[in-house]
Amino acid sequence: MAIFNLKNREIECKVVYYGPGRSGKTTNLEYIFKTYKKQVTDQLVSIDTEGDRTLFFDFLPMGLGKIGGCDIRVQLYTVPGQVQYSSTRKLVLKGADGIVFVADSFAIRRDKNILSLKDLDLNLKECGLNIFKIPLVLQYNKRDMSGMADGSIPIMSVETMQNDLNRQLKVPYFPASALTGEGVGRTLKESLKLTLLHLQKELKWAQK
Amino acid sequence: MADLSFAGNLNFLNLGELLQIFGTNGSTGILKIKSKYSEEPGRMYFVKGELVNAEAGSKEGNDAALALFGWTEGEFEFRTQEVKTKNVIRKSRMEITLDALRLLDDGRIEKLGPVTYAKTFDESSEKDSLIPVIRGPLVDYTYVVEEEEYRDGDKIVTEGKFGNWIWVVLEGKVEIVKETKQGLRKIVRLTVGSFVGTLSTTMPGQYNVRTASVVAVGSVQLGLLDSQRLYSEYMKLSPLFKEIITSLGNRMKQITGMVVDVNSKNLNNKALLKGKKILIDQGSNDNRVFTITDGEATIVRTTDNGDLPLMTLSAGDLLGRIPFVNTGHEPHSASVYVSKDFSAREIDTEIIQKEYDQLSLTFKNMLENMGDCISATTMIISEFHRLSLISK
Repeated sequence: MAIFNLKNREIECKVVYYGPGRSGKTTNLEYIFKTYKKQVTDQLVSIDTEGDRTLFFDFLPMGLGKIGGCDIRVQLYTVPGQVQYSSTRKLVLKGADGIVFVADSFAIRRDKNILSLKDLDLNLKECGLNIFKIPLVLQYNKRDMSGMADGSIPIMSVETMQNDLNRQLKVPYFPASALTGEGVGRTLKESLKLTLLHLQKELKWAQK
Repeated sequence: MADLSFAGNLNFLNLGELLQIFGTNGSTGILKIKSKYSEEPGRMYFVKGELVNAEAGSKEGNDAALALFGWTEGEFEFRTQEVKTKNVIRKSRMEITLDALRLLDDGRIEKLGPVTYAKTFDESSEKDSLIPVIRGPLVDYTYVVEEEEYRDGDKIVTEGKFGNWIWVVLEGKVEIVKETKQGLRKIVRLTVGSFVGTLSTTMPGQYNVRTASVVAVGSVQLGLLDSQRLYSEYMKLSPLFKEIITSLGNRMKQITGMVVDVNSKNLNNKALLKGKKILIDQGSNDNRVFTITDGEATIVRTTDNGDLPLMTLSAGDLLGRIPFVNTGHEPHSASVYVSKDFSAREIDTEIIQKEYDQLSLTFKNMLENMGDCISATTMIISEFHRLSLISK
């Protein structure tokens, strides 16, 4: 649930990048941080966890308008994928308003994607959230690797990934390459759109 | 004096969540964190929502802030007031929170609570193994009549000998060990605030055989407790409350005895549970408490490695979740099976809770510590059980 900061007349909402380790969550956030630097209000906080990094920064999306006369401030987070970091994961997921699930297109990571999505479902339940109700967007990352002529790193087709991950969820999905930045902005925009629509709906419901 | 603005239990809102709340609220003031495992409360200083300084024991600044994340049990109080301390912490609150939680998950921040773990060399399996280290609540010195010093390796209590004394650990650590066919088995370590000997061992007129040996690890200072005073307090208790104490003592004794049995191969679950039906299911929220009047009840813990019968209780013993003692058994972490001829009387937990509230601090501490010891010993037995299955 977003926080309504009455002092600053701001609505703070939280978008979390989730996914298996090394799928490119951090790269997504680093790209956003670089590209939208003017809109970033805070420093990029990076915490090194074993084998992965957890990132966090504050972000003021432009041109999104206001809700109920309040400005909107978005906090972007990544979550450490490894099992042992349960305290961090819980804190970050608690009160998340939107989720971007970053899946790895490498064929060898197929099972990792499915496991991580299941894990997300469980973790959200623990925080009293529902994967079918929370604004969720899928990103199929590392598509740029398909351009390799020799096919040394086999990647899955978008259809296969849809079938694996999005058959029941039926949420928006974007092929992307976080390294080059392709698809990163579109993923974020869609996620913010869904998140804010969801917030607005909740707000109307509350006003009735 | 500043007014209290916000207070509560860390079970409900943890430190990470508090930092976020004060942050978005832009609060200025002092957050005090009280834990019964620390004499001095911890403090965090906030200016306009940002953490500027912290104190925890002898630590200050960033180190203290991180250490406080290990205080997962306790109470907090926030007072809005002017903060004059130096601005020592320059990291943002979110950075500190995320970093602290990572360190906590990595086991690099010490958790301040009753049970921690220590690596120790186990002679019987010739390997390093982890054993629980149990800390007790803050020592109530009014019951300590004499301080005794022991050196590393000194035997304080010998298994099988008679003894009525009871001590509290003032400094250092002692190890509880038990004789088994495979040699000496280390069960748990007790550190500051834990009691050596149980309440039932202090009762005069009873010949109390010590169920395990106690050995000093490094130099240890123990406080001998005033058994006269404990005894007179005990005599004033209601018959029901005396039953609770005796039954907890029995549970402790039986669970310590299991350390021997778990290694022998004759753990015959089927025979033990034959003809018995389930009374309390593991994991249920059954909050009833009973006194057994007839028949017997077997406490069973279901683990990943199958069912492990822990003990069998009979007439006079208590079953169920006693509100102020956490034994780590039924209903959350063990089931209860009862024989055909079993009958029991349900107890009103409110009455025993009221009597508990009237007890002296030392009595309360002893009951709590006993629950922690039973819980930790059960865990170590589950571990021995797992190891014995692997070796088969």
